[in-house]
Amino acid sequence: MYRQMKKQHAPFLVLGILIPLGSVIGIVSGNQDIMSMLVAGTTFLTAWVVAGISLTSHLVDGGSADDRFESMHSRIAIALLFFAIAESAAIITGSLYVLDAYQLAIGVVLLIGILLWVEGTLHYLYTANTVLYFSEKYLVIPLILVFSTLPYLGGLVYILLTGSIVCNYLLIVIPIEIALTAILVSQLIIGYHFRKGYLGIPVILSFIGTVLLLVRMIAWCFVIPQFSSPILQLTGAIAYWVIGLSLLLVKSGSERIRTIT
Amino acid sequence: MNIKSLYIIKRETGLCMYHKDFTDAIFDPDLISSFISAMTSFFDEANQSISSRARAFEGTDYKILVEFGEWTIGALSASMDDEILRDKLRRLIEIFEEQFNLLRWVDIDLAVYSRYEKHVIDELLLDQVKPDSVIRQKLNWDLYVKNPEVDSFLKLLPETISVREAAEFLEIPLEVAMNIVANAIWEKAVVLTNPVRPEDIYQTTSLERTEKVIDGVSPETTAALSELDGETPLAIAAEKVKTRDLRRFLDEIAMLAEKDAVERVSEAQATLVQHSSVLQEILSNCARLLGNKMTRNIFVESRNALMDTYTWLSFVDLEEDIDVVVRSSLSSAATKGKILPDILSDGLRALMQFITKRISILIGSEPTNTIISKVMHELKQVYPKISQNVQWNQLTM
Repeated sequence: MYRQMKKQHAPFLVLGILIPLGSVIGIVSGNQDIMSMLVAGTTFLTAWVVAGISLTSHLVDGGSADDRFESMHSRIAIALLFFAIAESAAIITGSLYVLDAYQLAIGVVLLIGILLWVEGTLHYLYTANTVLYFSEKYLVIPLILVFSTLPYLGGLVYILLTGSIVCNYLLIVIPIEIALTAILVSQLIIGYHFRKGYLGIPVILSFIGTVLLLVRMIAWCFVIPQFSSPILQLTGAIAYWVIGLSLLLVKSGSERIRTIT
Repeated sequence: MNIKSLYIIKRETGLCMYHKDFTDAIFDPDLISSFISAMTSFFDEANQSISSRARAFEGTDYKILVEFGEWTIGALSASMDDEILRDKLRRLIEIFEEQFNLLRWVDIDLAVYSRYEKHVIDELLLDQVKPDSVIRQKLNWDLYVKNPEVDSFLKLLPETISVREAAEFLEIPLEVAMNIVANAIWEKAVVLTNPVRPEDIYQTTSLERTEKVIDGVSPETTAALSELDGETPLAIAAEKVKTRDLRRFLDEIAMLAEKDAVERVSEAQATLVQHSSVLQEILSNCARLLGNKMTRNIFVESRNALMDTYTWLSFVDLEEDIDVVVRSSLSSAATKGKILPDILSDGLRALMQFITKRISILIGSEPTNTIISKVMHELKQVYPKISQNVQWNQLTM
């Protein structure tokens, strides 16, 4: 897959080395402040570089409104931009006293990006279903939303019954988690059908990245209530890098078919 | 494709060594062979060019196609000049020269007529006979038919019957029945008509029509004439004008064809339209999964890989997003029969194979085969006969 990537993607590959390297140095140093700074810097850089490369790859070319495939990838690229904005906000506000209001604002930014992403993904899945017929067309989106919501309904009922308040921005985090789960289910379906083709690889990578984002969201609400905590940031950085890599590999699909004789 | 006569002429002497009239005799064979021989010599002398050769002469409702062998000239009188007929004529010349090579040097009786007959039937008559073709016995055919097989075949059948029904009635294989019918046509014992089918493609010949109503033709059929653009099957044209009775519509089209108000497109044009439809469907479904840009790349890469072998593929392109468009050079050549349908179907089939291969590299063979099945299923619903012309098994991975 590296043959298909172009020279302008070199910064992206460098990041792939920088993320683990920065983390290891931070951990080895034993100094909490140094580790926080290194992780924050790496995450900030990763988020913006990945967003920049993804936007130039997928948004510049445009495409028709009917092209759900390109649409989906454009929305993922825009979502990465929103993630980068959220990371920047988290780093700035993270130095201040942790306020729920700041966490809420970060959540809103994330939610906008993820809603764009899930809209593009579900639209693509609906279109793919007209060719691959994995479900009745009017059932595709409702089924996915139901499967995505069910895991959280139980938890929500428990929270309401017990009256325990996990975090004040739960109302933002729950929709984010439902949307990410919907994306995961969609990726599973698409990945299953494309598993024997080249495009199966970017789908798997995107799935891994989405899982990491979901884990981060759950941990943010229920375990570590600060978005800019080093462990959450590191998870985010890896997720952005993996998702960005999947977008680049999709773009490189055209190079792949050129090599066929 | 209405073939009238065939002549095989010795180049040196202008002597007619073989002739056959498929309809009523128009020309004296010795007269026509001398004429053709003289005219071809005249054009060769006048142009002083080795490559320049007279290849056709045109009358009011006929054309005489001329092809050159080593020592013979073949001339075929037909209603139209197309590459298929020329190809057949060239093959017949080749067979004649091989089988009767001795006649190049000496004039002796080699029983040319009896020995060459089968080749002419196979080349010129057999492929006109289709399972759905209808044969109508001529008056008093039994007085002049000499072939005993044809005689017994026709005696047992009603006056008008289709070839398939005749085979079923006599409990003989369809291929045998088709062979016997070809012999019956040779003997001028029957008239063969191919019924108009819903998937046939016709085009209007009378582009300027002053009257809004044509005698004997319903208003819906008259309205449908504007839909007969040489690319739309009759079933679709009928659907567009909301025809209630498809059978009547087809009968009226047959009547209009007899009056030369419409004509069936050449086989090459029909092949081009049919295969383009399949290609369009494959690309549309691919675009839903892979997007327009990647689909366009797949198409361009596949086409470029085949350009050396099928140079005419450069005239097949994509417009707007992924709309298949055939440039006028290629569609014109197909309309005029300048390119063989087999070459078109080979090239387009290879293009579709290359495209499906690239699609399967990207998304795997299973989804690719799902696309092919979907296209095949949809095409069968709309054009049952057309879908048989496409080699689907060669497209699946």
